[in-house]
Amino acid sequence: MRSIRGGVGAIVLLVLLVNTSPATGQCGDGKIRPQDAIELHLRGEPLVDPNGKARALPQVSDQDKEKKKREETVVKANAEVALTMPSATQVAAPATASGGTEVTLPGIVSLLGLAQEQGLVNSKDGVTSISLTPFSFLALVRPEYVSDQELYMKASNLRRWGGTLAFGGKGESFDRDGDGEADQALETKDFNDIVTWEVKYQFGSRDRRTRENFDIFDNAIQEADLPVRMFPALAAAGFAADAALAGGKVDADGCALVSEMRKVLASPEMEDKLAALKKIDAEYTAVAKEAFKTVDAKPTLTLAVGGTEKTEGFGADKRSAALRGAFPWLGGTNAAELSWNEVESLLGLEDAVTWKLGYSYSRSFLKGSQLSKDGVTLAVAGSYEKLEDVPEAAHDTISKLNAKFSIPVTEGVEIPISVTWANHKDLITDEDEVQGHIGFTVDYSTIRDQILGRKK
Amino acid sequence: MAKTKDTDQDSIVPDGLSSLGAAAGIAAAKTPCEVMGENEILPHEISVKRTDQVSWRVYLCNTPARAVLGIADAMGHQKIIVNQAVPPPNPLTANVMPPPAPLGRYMLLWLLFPTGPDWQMVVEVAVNGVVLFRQYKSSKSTLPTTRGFLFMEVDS
Repeated sequence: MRSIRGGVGAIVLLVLLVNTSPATGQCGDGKIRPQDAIELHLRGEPLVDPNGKARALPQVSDQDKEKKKREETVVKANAEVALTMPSATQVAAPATASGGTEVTLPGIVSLLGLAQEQGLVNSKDGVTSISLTPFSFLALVRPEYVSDQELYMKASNLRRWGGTLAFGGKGESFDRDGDGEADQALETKDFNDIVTWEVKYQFGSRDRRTRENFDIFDNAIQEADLPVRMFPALAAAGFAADAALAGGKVDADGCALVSEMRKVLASPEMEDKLAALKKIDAEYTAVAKEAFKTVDAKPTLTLAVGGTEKTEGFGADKRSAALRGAFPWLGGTNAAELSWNEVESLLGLEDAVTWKLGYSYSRSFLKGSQLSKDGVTLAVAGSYEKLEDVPEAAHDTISKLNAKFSIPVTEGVEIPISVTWANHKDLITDEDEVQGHIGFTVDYSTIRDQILGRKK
Repeated sequence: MAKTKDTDQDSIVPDGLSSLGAAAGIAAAKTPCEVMGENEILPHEISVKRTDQVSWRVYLCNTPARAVLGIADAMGHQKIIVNQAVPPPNPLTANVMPPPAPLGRYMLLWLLFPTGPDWQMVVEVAVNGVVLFRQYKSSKSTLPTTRGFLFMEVDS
């Protein structure tokens, strides 16, 4: 017990030491690095904080500090586990190392603990679910597969796999004893009473780190000759600042007085050079944005297969398969899905089968116009379902088509309009007015709230 | 109209990374960049002799990037030494000044164009194998710039 306390105490001391160590590479009070001052100026940000003090520019942000704190918690938790669990070790050679570095792999208990910490293993309402994304587990054990780009690319196929496996939960309410009355759903007792699973594979990628998507960005900046054009612009600004700071105005730590830097940045010698650099920066931002827009809109296709296996008394087994696609078309976002679902018949009849084809489209118009700053969004969705041997279904086929859009009236006030068509009248349940197979809703609530002065 | 079930792509897009990034980031030991970046050395300039060997090195974490390195003088002469996509290699090392070099004041400049949303990078300048400059930058830095410069005074 004493050794455990001692170990924990040492960790706490270490954490305190880490937290109180002076930050390296920072300027003293009232000083700033010339390069940082130039970058802040280009971004239109002040060199001093609201209290008039020089902006300290720690390279580690608050977010990083929080992350560090969480890492230390995990490390501490692992250290405690290691007191009772023998750890496996292996030798891994980092890309930069001239020799091997011994790394400690967590034992299975701490691995599960980490997996739970990351949400890869969850337990809620009697259901324990495990992520079937293999790369997540690989990253947990071998984090260099995330940080090292070459390893990351090697595992690109592994990252396409995903899914979940869940155990437990509650069964279905149905007539178990044949008395004509539905019996209460049973709670699972054994681990395998109800097992739900899904496996997915994704074709296509929007990941900016893949070679293909990086090339889209890289080709775009090279076509605009940005890497080469930015170079002389930065050199000119840097040399102009350097000349203005000659004569010992930059100390041995590479820092200059904020007041001095202000004068330098405001000097006529710097003005045109900073303007030239700012122009290229803006061009780069635009080119990068366009390239990322192309990557973010790349089509993807996901194949998903799943099912639910139940022991007797918990309800019907289920199987499903789906093909889901997301792609840009007609200037908007499109999603399509073809799915198949089969539910076992508990009465020994034919299994219930549902085929479904779904499609949705959304697009914003008139964004930034006088009519509407945020634009007008049009959303169209349609689906067709074919049902075979589904006992509770009133129709063999279900077709629906819905369009929604909003008409902007004034700033922040719009009238949403929804129109739905269905191949059976009773399927239109979400609209205020129904005429034949068409339902119609005009929502005036935002105008009413505006008149009554209510906030949404 | 009821929403189409299971049309949500987020569970796997992009490439299982939405959860992965956080998972790895929190649970992982520090990245090589974070470890190297703990000891930044950020002088405005360094002094070197004509016969010194000056090398530049960049180490990238969590991203690919285009890396550009060059040298310039106050007269407006410039030379681009490196202009390539990395990795490979990682780290990327380049000889800035194989001896003998002409006397004068020079500026080393580097530009990096990463695509990974959680990029990290460490740039080092070494003279005869001794690191005299080390800068760590990341997407989470207070000033997340992906370029930098260092002045180099070459004397006899």
